[in-house]
Amino acid sequence: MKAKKAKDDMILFAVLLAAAVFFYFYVIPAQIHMTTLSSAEAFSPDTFPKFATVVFIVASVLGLIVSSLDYVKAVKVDGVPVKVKTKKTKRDVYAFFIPYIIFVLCIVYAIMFKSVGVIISTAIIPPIVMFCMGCRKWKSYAILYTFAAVLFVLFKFVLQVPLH
Amino acid sequence: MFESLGQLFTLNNLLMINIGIATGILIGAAPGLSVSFAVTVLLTMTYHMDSVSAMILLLGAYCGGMFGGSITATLINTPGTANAVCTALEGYPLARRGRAGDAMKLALVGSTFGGIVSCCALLFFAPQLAKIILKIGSPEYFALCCFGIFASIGLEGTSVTNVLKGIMSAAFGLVLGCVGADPVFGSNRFAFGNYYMLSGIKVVSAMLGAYALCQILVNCREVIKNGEESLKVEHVGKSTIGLLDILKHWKTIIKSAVIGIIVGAVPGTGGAEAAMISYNEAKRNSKHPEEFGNGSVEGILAAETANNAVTGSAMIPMLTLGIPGDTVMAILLSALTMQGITPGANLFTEGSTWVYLIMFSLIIINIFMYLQGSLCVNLFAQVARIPQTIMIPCIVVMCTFGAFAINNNIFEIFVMVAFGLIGFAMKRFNFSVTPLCISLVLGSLFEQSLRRSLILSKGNPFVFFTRPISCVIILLAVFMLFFPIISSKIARGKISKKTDKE
Repeated sequence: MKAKKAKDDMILFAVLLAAAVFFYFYVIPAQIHMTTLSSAEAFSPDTFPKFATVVFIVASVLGLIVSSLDYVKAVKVDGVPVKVKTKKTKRDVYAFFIPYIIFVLCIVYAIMFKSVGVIISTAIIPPIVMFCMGCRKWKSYAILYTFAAVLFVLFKFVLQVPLH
Repeated sequence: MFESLGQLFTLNNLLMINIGIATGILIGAAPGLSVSFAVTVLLTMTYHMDSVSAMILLLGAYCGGMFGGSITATLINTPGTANAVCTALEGYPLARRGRAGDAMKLALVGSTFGGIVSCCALLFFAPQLAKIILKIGSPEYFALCCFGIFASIGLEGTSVTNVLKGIMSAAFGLVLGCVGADPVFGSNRFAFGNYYMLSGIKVVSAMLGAYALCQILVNCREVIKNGEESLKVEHVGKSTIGLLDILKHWKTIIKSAVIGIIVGAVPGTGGAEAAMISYNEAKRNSKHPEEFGNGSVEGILAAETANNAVTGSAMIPMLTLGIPGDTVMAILLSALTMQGITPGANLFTEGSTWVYLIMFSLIIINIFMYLQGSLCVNLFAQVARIPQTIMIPCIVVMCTFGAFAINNNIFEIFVMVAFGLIGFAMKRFNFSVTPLCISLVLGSLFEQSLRRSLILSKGNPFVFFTRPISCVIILLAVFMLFFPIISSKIARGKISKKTDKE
C-alpha cells in the first residue's frame, strides 16, 4: 500500500515537474509582454512568476526524490506493489465519472447562460444535474425550480444583477 | 465613536445580521459543507450592498457556521464542520442519554461566550497592533506574507511530502496571482489573448470554484458510491441544565476562550485546532476525566468556546495587516477589497469609525446567534435531512448566479468552473487548496513588497534578515512551516519508545 502511494506520488511529481519546466521556458516568455523599459529593470514583470515557478520546480524535484526514497524503502519491506484487479460494478464506474459529468454540465450551463439566457438554461441544466445524481422524485424537481426562482428574484430584483 | 454605533441598529443591518447567522448555521449544520462555503456563497450577494451591511452579513455567516457544525455533531454524530469534531465526541453521547437539549445549550453558551470574549480581544488588540504596523516597511510586509503562506502550508503538513505539496500549491497560487497587468510597468501577464484576463483572476470566483463547486464535485461521487442516506434527526427537548450549572465550569470556559483567541490570531490555524487543543487541555485538567468520551459537559464547553473564540481574534491580522490567517479570512479580505476598503493600519488611524462598527457588530452577532440558536435549534437541525441530490443542483445554480454577479459577465462563471476542477484535482491528489487561495489573495502584496524591498536595498536579498522585525517574522514563518513535521516525528518517537518498553 505504501509502495503504491509512493509510486503514485513519484509519477505525479514527475508530471508536475515536466509541466513546470515547460511553463518556465515556453509559457512565461510567450505570455509576458516585455517592453524595452521593463526588460532593462532588475525586477522585470517576469521576475516574480519565474521566481514562483522555480519554487514549484524545486519543490517537485524534492518531492520526486522523497517519494523515490519512500518507494525504495516500502519495496524493501512489502515487496513490489502488485496490481490487484477488482471487478468494478456499474455503480463504481458511474461514481468515478459523475464529477466530470457535473463539470461538463457546468460548462454547458455557462455557455447556455450566455446564448439562451438565464431562465431557459436554468430550466434545463440543473434538473439534468439532479437526474444524473439519480433523483427521480418529481417533488425534488419542484423544490429545485422553486429555489431557482427565488434566487432569480433575489439576484435580479433585490440585488439588481442584470440577469436576462 | 459610540454615536456612530447607532448605525448598526438599523432595520436593514439587523436583518443582515440575522440572515447571515441563519444561513451560516444552516450551512454549518449541513454535513459536507464548510464555513468557508457559507461565507463564499453569501459573498456573491454583497456586491451591491454598502460595506457595513456586507461585512455584517458575512460575519454573521462566519459565526453562525462555527456554531452550526455542533448541531449535527450533537444530534446525529456527524460534525457539520471540522470545528465540531470534538463537540461530536461529547455532545452525541449526551444526546443519546436523552439530554440533547442540554448538549445544545452547552454548545450555544460556550459559542456565545467564546465569540464575545474574542470580540473584546479584537477591540483591544487590533488598534494597538495597528499603531505598531505604522512603523513597518516593505521588508516586514514581505515577511508577513511569507508567514501567512508558510503557516497555511505548515498546517497541512504532517509529512515532508505534504509540505512539498503545500509549497507547490502556494507557488501555483502566486503564479495565478500574477495574471493580469503588471503593477509597475503594466505589461500583460498570462492574458492568453483574452480581454477579461487583463484585469486578473477575481479571488471571489476562484474561491467560489475552489470551495463551493469543488465540494459538490467531491460530494456527488460520495452520493453515487454510498447511496443517499436519509438522516433521521431526533427532536431536541428542553434543556434541564441551568446557566449557574454551566458557570460552575468557569475556569474551563475562560481557559478555552484564551486558547481560542491565541490560536485564532496565529495565521494558518483555525477553529478546529483551537477546539482540539482546548478539549485536550480540559481533559487533562478535569476532575472527572472518566466522563470524557461519555458526554462530558466540560468537553463540550471547552471545544465550543474555543472554536468560536477564534472568530474575533482571526480578524486581528486580517484587519491590521491585510494578512488572512485562514480561508474564511481570505474570503473576507477579498470582500473588503471589493468594497474598496484597504485593510491595514490606516483603517484605525484615519478617524473612520467603520472598523469599530464592524468589531462591535461581532458582539451583536453573538447575541443574536444565542437567540436564534435557542429558539430555532430544531428547525436548523432539519437541514441534515435535505438530500444531497437536491442540495447539489441548488448549489450549482447558486454558484453560477453568484459568479455572474461578480462582474456581470460569463467569464467569471468559467473561472469558477475552472477552479472547481483545479480544486477537485488537488483534493484527488492530496494537495491542500488553502495555500493556493491564501497565495492568490496575498500574491499582489507579496510581489509588490518584494519588489520595493529589493529596490530600496539596491538588490540586496539579505535586507529581510538585516531588519530585526522582518528577520524574526521570517524565522517564525520557517518554524511554522516545519513545526508540524517535527512535532509529529517527536510524537511518533515517543509512541515507538513506549511500545519498545512494553
